[in-house]
Amino acid sequence: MGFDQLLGGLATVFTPEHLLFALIGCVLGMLVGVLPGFGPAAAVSLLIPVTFGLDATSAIIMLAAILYGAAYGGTTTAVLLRIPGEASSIATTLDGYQMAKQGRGGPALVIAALASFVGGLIGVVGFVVVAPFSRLALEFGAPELFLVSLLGFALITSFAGSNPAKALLSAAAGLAIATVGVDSGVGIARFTFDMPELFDGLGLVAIVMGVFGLSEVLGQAQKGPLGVPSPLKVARLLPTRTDLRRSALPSLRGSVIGFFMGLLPGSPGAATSLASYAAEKKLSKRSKEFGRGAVEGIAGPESANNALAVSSMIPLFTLGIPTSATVAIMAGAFTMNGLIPGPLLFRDNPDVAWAIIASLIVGNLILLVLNVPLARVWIAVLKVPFHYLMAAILAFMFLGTYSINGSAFDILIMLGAGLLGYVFQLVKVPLTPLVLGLILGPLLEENFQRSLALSRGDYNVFLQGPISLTLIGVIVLAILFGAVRPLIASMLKKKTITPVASKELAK
Amino acid sequence: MKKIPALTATAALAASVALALTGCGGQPASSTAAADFPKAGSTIEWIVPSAAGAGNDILARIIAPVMQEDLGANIKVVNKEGGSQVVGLNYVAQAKPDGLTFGNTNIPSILGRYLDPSKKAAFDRGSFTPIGSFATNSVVIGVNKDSKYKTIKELFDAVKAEPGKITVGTDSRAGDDHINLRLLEDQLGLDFNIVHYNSGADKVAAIVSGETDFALGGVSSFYGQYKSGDIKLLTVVEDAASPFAPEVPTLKGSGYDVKPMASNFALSVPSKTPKDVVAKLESALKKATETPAVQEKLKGAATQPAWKSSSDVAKLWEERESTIKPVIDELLKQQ
Repeated sequence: MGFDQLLGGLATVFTPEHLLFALIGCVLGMLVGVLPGFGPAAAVSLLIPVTFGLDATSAIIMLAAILYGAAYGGTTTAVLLRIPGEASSIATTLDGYQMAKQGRGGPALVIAALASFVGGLIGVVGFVVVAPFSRLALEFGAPELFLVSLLGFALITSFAGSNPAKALLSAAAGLAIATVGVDSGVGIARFTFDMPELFDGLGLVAIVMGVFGLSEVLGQAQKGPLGVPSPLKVARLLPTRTDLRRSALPSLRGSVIGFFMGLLPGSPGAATSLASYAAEKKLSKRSKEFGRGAVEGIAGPESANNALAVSSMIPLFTLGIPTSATVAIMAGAFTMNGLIPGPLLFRDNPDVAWAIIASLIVGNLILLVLNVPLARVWIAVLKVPFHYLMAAILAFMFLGTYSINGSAFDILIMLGAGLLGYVFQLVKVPLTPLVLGLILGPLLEENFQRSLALSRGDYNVFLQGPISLTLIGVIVLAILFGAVRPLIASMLKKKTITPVASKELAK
Repeated sequence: MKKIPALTATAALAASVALALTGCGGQPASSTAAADFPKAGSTIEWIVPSAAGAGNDILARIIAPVMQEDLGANIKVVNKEGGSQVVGLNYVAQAKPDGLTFGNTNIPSILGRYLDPSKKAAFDRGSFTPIGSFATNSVVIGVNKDSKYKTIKELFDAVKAEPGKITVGTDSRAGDDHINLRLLEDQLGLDFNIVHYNSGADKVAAIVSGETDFALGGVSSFYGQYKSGDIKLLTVVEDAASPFAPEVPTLKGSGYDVKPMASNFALSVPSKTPKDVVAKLESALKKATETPAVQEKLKGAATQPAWKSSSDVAKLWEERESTIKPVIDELLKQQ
């Protein structure tokens, strides 16, 4: 494996036919992806029949293009309407929607497209470099994944806002919602009320759409007919030089974070883009701007998201193991076209393999070229008066939620989640920790149960191996610096500011 | 006022669409059953009770277009995921028995859904009439390529020596793998340490990384790793060898008397569907199964195209139910 083959692959892709299918895939994927609720997995599956009758290379180039086209479509609604089309766009809503409200929706979309391209490009370069070592990712077994999920909770501090107690409340609510369903280890039904719809738990996408999208619609409606804001200003379309400069490093860092997270079994996209957001907020000199329209808050997560989309295919190409639902569909597409994903692909059909890897670069380039001018079209949506726009959004959210599963029950979940999100906003409880709890809860629980099942109840399973020990070290540091230090600092502060209170305590 | 003609046109269009949807002038659909099924241009729903992109879903999307051409009606693949397939299967069982709704009732998967009362399934075997089965997936047992167990006998002897110690992964709790493992334990007097994963892929990853000692499941889920040599297949739980792994010995050939376990990709309509409508769907499914392009795509997915008629599936369903019911009852008692 190497860059020579990648160049060879690029040469294969640059035929009019392959380029055409990559283009069609990007456009189809984007169109489907813009509909809230339709994530990449559903888009690819729906459009698989479109690829019948194509040769294997064209078919898979097109399906891959659909995949990231749909992922990008979700970004558009996240920025413009605060509806994350899928869970991995949550981080983008945080600052993207704020930018749109300030009339900077255009720059937000263009930065998202640029950052996605950077992420995709770095993903492919990483693909070539890391692929021979991809077996190492399998070292992350159940105990290691449990520790990684535990570490994920450290992210809550970054989304806490001004009141850590409220953030913890929100995360706890997320964890509580995550317990609904039949537990996967021993089969106990929890809060299912004998309804089969609840056995598999509450749908993440429906909740995310409700908590972020619907709560915003309700929040706007609360202002009443007099409070309806005039249509948003749409200022310049292209980002400023400052925007670009501020996005450069976050894109690079996001790509690296996304790339490595994508290699892990499960490739949790939503948690990864939130992790990138948290990292940028920590590192930025302007961390106060985050949540108020900081361009870094888009560049980081978007590049992380796309780098993850590329790197999550590495285990499929090199080991034949799809690590996420989305990649599993790609695996299905391979086998349907008579290709066996895995090491054999490089032995038996190296041309096809490298053409597909190279097509990831080309497809991302197509997306970039498409999306800069398209941003102008999407932005026009914001010129619609708010009360009409909100009504249309509501209709699309109902449609999108229903289409995930053909289930009216999911609409109820979306509505319930919307109410919860609205109430949380009224009392200023941050929403992101809730989603984080919802995503990490099942990972935490399943891997905990699985680890103990493997070790037959021996807790030492979490202390074995260098990866586990390193993770435990990092978790301890995170607790010390993230929780204990601020606590001590605040206690010291109290002592100096309110000597009276401390005297009373001393009595 | 320019808008009015456009509006009336839209209204007329909507009305005609509504008419077309209700099946011309509001006649009860059930009376139209017989000879003219399916009406040209009508839409048949193929309910896949799992997520878009799951194994069932991909196979449905391969076959639906071919059946559609034969029937002269649209077949729409609809994913109704949830409640470990119970949501989608409930929908099929309660659909109008007019042949316009059918769904995947894979055997033995479906047995675990309704034999376990906690799943709250609103159906049983009597709720469905099979229209046929288009493919089978042989069950195999595989180990890591570096495993110390070179034959199925070595593996089972090790299990006997240390009951409850040898770990095996499944694709889900109470799914096919789990039930098949319990069948093996019962029939051979073995005791495994069964660990549940979230999907077939996770189960396979655990074998390749060496986290679990062995795994059991459909040959299609092991195919890539088997071909690349990362996983060694020890046996196929079948009376005859699998065409996808011809050199792998059968369990019977290795001296273990175990009933075949293959899963069948069966489709069914609600049980009250008229016989001639079932026959029409059956013949369309049979033709699709025998289409070379379909067979090639199924084989690509390491799924063996194999036609079983409506009555054969009904018989198989009854047989498998009687074998599996005691195992599920016992599983329930342990909870």
